[in-house]
Amino acid sequence: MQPLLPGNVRRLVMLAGVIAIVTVAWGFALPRLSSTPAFQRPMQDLEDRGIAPEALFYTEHPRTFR
Amino acid sequence: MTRKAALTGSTRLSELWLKEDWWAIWIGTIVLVVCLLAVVMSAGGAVSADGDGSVSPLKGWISKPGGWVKDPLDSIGTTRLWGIGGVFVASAVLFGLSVEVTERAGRRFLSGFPLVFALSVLAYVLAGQLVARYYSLSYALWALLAGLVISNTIRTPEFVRPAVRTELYIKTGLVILGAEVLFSRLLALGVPGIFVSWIVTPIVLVTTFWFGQRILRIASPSLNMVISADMSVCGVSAAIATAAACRARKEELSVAIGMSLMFTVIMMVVMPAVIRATGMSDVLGGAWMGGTIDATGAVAAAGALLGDSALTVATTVKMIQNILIGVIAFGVAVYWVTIQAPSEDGAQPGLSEIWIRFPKFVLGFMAVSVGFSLLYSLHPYGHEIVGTVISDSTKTMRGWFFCLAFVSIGLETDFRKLAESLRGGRPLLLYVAGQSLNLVLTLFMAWLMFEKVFPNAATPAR
Repeated sequence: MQPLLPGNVRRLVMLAGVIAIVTVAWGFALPRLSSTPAFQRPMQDLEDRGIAPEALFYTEHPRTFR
Repeated sequence: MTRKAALTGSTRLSELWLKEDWWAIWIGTIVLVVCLLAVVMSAGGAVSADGDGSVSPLKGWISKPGGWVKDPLDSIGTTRLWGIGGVFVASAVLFGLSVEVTERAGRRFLSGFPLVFALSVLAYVLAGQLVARYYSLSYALWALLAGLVISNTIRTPEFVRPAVRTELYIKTGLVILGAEVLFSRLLALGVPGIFVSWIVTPIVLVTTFWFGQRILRIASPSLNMVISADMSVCGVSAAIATAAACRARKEELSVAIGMSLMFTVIMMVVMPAVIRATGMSDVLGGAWMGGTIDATGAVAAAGALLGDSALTVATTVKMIQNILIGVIAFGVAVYWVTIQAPSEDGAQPGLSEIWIRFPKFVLGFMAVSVGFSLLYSLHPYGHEIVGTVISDSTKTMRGWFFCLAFVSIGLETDFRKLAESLRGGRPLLLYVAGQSLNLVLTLFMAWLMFEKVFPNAATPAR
């Protein structure tokens, strides 16, 4: 069966789709979610205690390194 | 060129400026020396001994996108923009020079590098969002995905390919990481910490690797090793170090990191709940989580949910595991060149063959680690100097180089190859089996050490 769109166009549409998902998620959904106390309070608490939850290595936590 | 010819003195000497491994050492050393001199010279040779007074003069010139909540532009801002620009220029010059000398392709590198760097900036911005940070979904994941999306939709443009240098970026990042592997901190939790981190971690690593080879019969030993290391040691950083030491394929590193991040999110939510529900003490729970949750950041976040003593023990156990990656990367490199990959005729390789095969950047990594550990321990202001150099400059550079590497992996990876690596679900089974052993053994050792043999051991660490 022939694909609906030629290869190049299909690839561009796929990329556009991913960009749209990222824009919606990071531009609207996540900011709204992170405004809730469920995220804001614990995150503030972690930062106050010198913790970086995204750390790959112990030197990225102010608490364990400096 | 024959092997004999490769062993001639002149050829071996030229490797110093023609081989990627050596360039990783040179670039890493340049970055470390410049950052170290900047701190020492700015303080006139006497860094303040009274705590957190010193700041590297390079701090403003070395930066990365920060955290944000609502507006992604908050993660960059004017101050950080200069620092990001500084990293871009330094990386383009250093890596461009290496590519020019080794392949006479410096210009082509420079034409593709801005896009690889731009994708790295995007990865940092995505990782900086509060929810992503909260769940420890670090830049490694987003960098990998950014590259994968490009290569699997519009395909990686030809002009970008000369700047796709996964191994050079990773090896250079690892040499710089050596400065953060401070051996003197291995004793931070005393004897119980040694038992939980030094004894359990290698046992789990070796047993899981053996299980993958002998029972699950995973086709690729390097995939087996990377999964075993990232699960038993410390997630992404251990995966990077062992993958480079055993020359794992790029998609194997991607698979290992993907699984590690997935289980990290599950474990950082489930383990504190289990610890609370079973009435386990905070110290025991902290040690258990520190020894089992892969990601360093997630360990701290989960420990903080339980309380301050759990947080202290969890982060210290994980810190000791972090430092172990120096020894483990060296051990894996030695094992790989001597036992796992014998000569073409099946015989054990001789010393010269071992030297030829040995990933030289591991030597740079170890040398930097030993040098900075000595500086940290022996110099009167060692803690202050090393702390300032790492916090204000080198850890940011190391992060950028790993980020560039993950973007490069994505740009080189076909989804179908990723699926091949996961075929039959055996890698997933390996991870689950290894992590189960890790959970049981770590809990037993933590209970024995922190509750029975040294019940007051966590007190001095606070």
